[in-house]
Amino acid sequence: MASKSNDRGVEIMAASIDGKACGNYEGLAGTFASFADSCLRHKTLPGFYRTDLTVEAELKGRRLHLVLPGKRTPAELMEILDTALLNIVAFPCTEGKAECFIEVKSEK
Amino acid sequence: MALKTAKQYLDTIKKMKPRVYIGGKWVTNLLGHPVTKSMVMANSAIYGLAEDPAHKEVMVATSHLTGEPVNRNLNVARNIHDLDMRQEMALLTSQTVGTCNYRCVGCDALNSLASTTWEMDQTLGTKYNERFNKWLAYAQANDLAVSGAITDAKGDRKKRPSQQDDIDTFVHLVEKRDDGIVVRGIKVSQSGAIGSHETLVLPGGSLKEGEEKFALAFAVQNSVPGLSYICQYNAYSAEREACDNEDELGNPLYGQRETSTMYFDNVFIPWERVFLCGETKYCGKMVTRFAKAHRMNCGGACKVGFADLIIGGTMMAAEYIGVEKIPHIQEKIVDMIRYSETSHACAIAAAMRGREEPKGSGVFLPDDLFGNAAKLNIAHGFWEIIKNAGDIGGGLVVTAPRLKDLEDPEVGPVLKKAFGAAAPADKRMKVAKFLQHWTAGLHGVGTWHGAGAPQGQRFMFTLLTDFEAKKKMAKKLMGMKEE
Ligand SMILES: Cc1cc2nc3c(=O)[nH]c(=O)nc-3n(C[C@H](O)[C@H](O)[C@H](O)COP(=O)(O)OP(=O)(O)OC[C@H]3O[C@@H](n4cnc5c(N)ncnc54)[C@H](O)[C@@H]3O)c2cc1C
Repeated sequence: MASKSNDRGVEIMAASIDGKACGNYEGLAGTFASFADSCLRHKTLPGFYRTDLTVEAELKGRRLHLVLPGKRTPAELMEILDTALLNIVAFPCTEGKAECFIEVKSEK
Repeated sequence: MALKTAKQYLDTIKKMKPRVYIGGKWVTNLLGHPVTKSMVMANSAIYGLAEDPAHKEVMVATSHLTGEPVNRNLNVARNIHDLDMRQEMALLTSQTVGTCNYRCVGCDALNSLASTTWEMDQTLGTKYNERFNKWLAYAQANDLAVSGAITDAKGDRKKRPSQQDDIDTFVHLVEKRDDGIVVRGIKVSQSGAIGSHETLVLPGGSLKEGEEKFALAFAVQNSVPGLSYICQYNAYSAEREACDNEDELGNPLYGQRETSTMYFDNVFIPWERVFLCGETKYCGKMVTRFAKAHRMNCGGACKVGFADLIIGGTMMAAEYIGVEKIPHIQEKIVDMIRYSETSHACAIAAAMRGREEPKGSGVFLPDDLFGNAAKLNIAHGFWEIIKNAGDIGGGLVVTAPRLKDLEDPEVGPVLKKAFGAAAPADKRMKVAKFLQHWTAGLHGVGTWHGAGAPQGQRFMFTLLTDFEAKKKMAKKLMGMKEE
């Protein structure tokens, strides 16, 4: 079953770092599924394949919870997330309602 | 934003981190390695052409999906003019960068997908065309660089995909999931895939019933986990890595035609990016339609652009040694023009005789026979062109010392004496290096095989030619009765 998508065939993902909203990203519908697969099956983020960045991930419906290794500042986490989303061809956007959620935390 | 500038493209590529291996190293920054950088700079120059008002007619089209201006590399041809501008784009981009337009294969792949997915939806009631159009609209809106992967590794050519000892030699389906598919396998000789945002993957050839798992077409983002690129590596790569000044090289900024082997190690593709999955009957059509477009463009017009550069360099070489007016030199230059312009004429004819395929789809594809003629003619002609360039360029094309040796206090004065002729030594040596890049490197075989090995075009000639009609004409003129 393909994921939900609007008429334009895109989906909007809301990103948050340590519980604080930090922007929306637009990708082709299915991008969230790609992103989630990367985190769940490959245990890494797009663009960080076989680097030392191993993520812990849990998917609940359309909500993906991620824990990134190392103690990183929110700004560092944001930079990593922004790069990962670009690497899966999703770009920052200001319009539209988010249907998928990526919640990132740093390792405690 | 429908058209990206060269700078905007570079800004995205700076952040892209595909898993790329070249000459013993993993590359973390495509702009940080001299060879991968040359590929990226060529792509950025292609984006730059669309910014130039002088090239708008060729480089910019109107999206049939949104009515917005889009880069022609992402356009579906809707009429003869579109086809003509497409082949002119192949010419212009080659003349500009002297290497691949790395968005070219993707462009021809998306035209084939537009045509074939439409037909599948009409006949099978699938939703592939709807999906494909959404992908295309997204690619157009973000002006994505899209490469095209058709050539499988293929293994033993006598065997079918499923008979191979290792079926990874063909990209194939591993698993169907609710949200998408998982694929694995190898595509080879992929032009510019490393510096693209996405790649369109098509089946490598016709498939039969029972070969469903190889029947796949999809779009993949280029940095998804599981996907790796092993770049070509040769003497030109080593030279670029070793040199401390790119100006020393034959094509300083844009280099050779850079390809890589793409390894799909259980890569997930969401359904929204899948445009054919198991429909073996349509694989042949998909590949043939791709080849139709690609032979006019990559096979034909693109190499005419290379020929223009070689002819220009050869003329300079002749002038620099004072032989430009000698009859046999002029004859050889004329031969070079004959080979190249014949192919350009075939590419133009392929566009002009193009037609909607299939009827009702709104997608225009070039004429098959003329497209194949463009490619086959230049495949043979290119060897003649580089032979003449080598002839007129003289032995210096392969015997020249480094350009910077001219600055050496001890050997520099000797070299200036040795190679100064009707022009100073530095000019002669620069042109010799330029011709070396074309004649003594990768371009001969590259032109021969790119857009398909010539045996394929010969086969198409036999398929597309009405031999009976020709015999009938001859008999009629001879006054011979029909049996
Ligand atoms: C510079 C360059 C750029 C390229 N860029 C791309 C790209 O971006 N995307 C892409 O998908 N591909 C690309 N290609 C691949 C190109 O399409 C192939 O090289 C071409 O189709 C030939 O396939 P091959 O290299 O596997 O040759 P081979 O299959 O190894 O052919 C070698 C010889 O065997 C013959 N042969 C092979 N199989 C058979 C058979 N079954 N029956 C009879 N004879 C046979 C051929 O005719 C040829 O003479 C590129 C190639 C080059 C050189």
